[in-house]
Amino acid sequence: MIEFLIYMGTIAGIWAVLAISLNLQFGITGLVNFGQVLPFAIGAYGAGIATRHELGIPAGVLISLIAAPVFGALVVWPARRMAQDYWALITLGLAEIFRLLMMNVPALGGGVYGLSVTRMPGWSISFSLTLALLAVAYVISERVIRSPLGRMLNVIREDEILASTLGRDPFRYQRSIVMLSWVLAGLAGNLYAHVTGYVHESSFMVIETFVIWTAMILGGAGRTIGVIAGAFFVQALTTSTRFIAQWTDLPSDVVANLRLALVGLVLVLMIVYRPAGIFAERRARHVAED
Amino acid sequence: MSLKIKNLTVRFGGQTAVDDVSLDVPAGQITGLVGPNGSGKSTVMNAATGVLVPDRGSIHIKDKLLHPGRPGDTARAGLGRTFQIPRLARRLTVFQNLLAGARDQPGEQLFSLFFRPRRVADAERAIEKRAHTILKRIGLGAKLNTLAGELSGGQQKLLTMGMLLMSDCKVLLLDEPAAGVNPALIEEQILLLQSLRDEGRAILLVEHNMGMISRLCDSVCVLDSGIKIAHGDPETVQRDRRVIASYLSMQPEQAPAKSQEAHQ
Repeated sequence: MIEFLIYMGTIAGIWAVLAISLNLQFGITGLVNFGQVLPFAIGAYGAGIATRHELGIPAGVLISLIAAPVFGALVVWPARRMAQDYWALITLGLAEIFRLLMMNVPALGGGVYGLSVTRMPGWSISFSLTLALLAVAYVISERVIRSPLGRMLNVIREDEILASTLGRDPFRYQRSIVMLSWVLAGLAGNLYAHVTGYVHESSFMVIETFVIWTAMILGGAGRTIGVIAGAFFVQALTTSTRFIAQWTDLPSDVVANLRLALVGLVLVLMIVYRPAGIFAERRARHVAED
Repeated sequence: MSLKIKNLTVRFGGQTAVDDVSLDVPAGQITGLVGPNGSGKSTVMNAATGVLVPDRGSIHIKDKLLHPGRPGDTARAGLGRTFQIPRLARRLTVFQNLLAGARDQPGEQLFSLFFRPRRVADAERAIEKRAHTILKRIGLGAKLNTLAGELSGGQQKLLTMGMLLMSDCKVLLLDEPAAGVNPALIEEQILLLQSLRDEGRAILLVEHNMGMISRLCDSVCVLDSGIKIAHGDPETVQRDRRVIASYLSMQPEQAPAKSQEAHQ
């Protein structure tokens, strides 16, 4: 049982890093990324490709660390001349293209068999590394949010034209936050591959992006601690329903769909009754001068 | 620093919105830009601030030619503008909006933020000090932690002016600051604009409130259907037959010699 909880904590922790990454893009900057699973997949395949070519774990981490932000900078490029809605579609499409590419080009991503990756020697090591990554992501996210950069990203979220009349180039800010948050998501992907011991395209379906979105919205977009709580809550919700399924005689595909329906229901209730999330975004306070 | 608009022409398809308009906005003066709705005032503003690319003509700040269509560059050259409907970060506080107006914060770059925390903190302290001064100047001292979206329309307009002052804009383009603002706040705006003028800033004021125009402006330029029909001191311009006619949609010869309506 304790081992199971540690496994759960590990997975939830990785998803929490993804939610922090999405929060920096959407909650703070207003970039609608419907392909958040893409940097995650890039990171995971970085580990897979490194293992396949026997480059070692550090090289795999390095690949993820470099590939994710480089892809991020490329993907954000079209946002320069387009409305935000289109960026949502671009990211959604690109994440799926990447997944299909990995599925259909065995030379790259091992095709339908996926790639095997060096597995962590024990759950406690996986869990510790996850906690360490989560802590790093938390510190980076909080530093950005409570800084002049976070303030300007908020201004861009509210009104891009305002930012440019204040002499800023909104695109440059969007690019740097996408690159930073994709580094975090890429590292999460790399860690995930080492935790599960394989990389397979089925782990990077569009639905995963929406699980991350759900975590962020439930917890409260804009607050780091909120999106972490959201990720753990979603994980607890989906796992606990597995146990409930064991006591009933429902077929497993029905249970899987009911679980998604439950996540959807929670999301709807949340948006109706507490749209700001469990932890609402905090208002900055400044002390008046005498 | 002064703003010079030279032979500006802007067409939208077959429609000429602004036709060969030249305008000087000298430092230390308030220049009015008036005209009926649709006469091209906002288009002049948008071209001057680089929001749209003119078909012909050029914009100069202190004899430096500005590259058309680059609002960021224009702003960095010292030209600030406000909008008819104020643009603010509504979910940020008044004070945060002011702080965001400052352009000299290295902490907006990731590198400085993580590797030069001391410099970022020092810059932030200096910017906060400036923001407190400006906050008092625009009369919003008590509204420090209020969300910008919760301010009244008039207060929002004052705040947008404050944001421009944070980056010390030398040329201010103000789009109808008095529209929809209560009379007490208009008085406050007038005092603020006078003090900004006395500091040597160049101000272009687009306004329908003729009382404000005649009290503040050193000279007034009148547009009608994209053409500059008059330019001079407010008194002369208001007596101009073509100006009165354009406001009353008449032919110049039908216009009354001096109309009360033109003063409203």
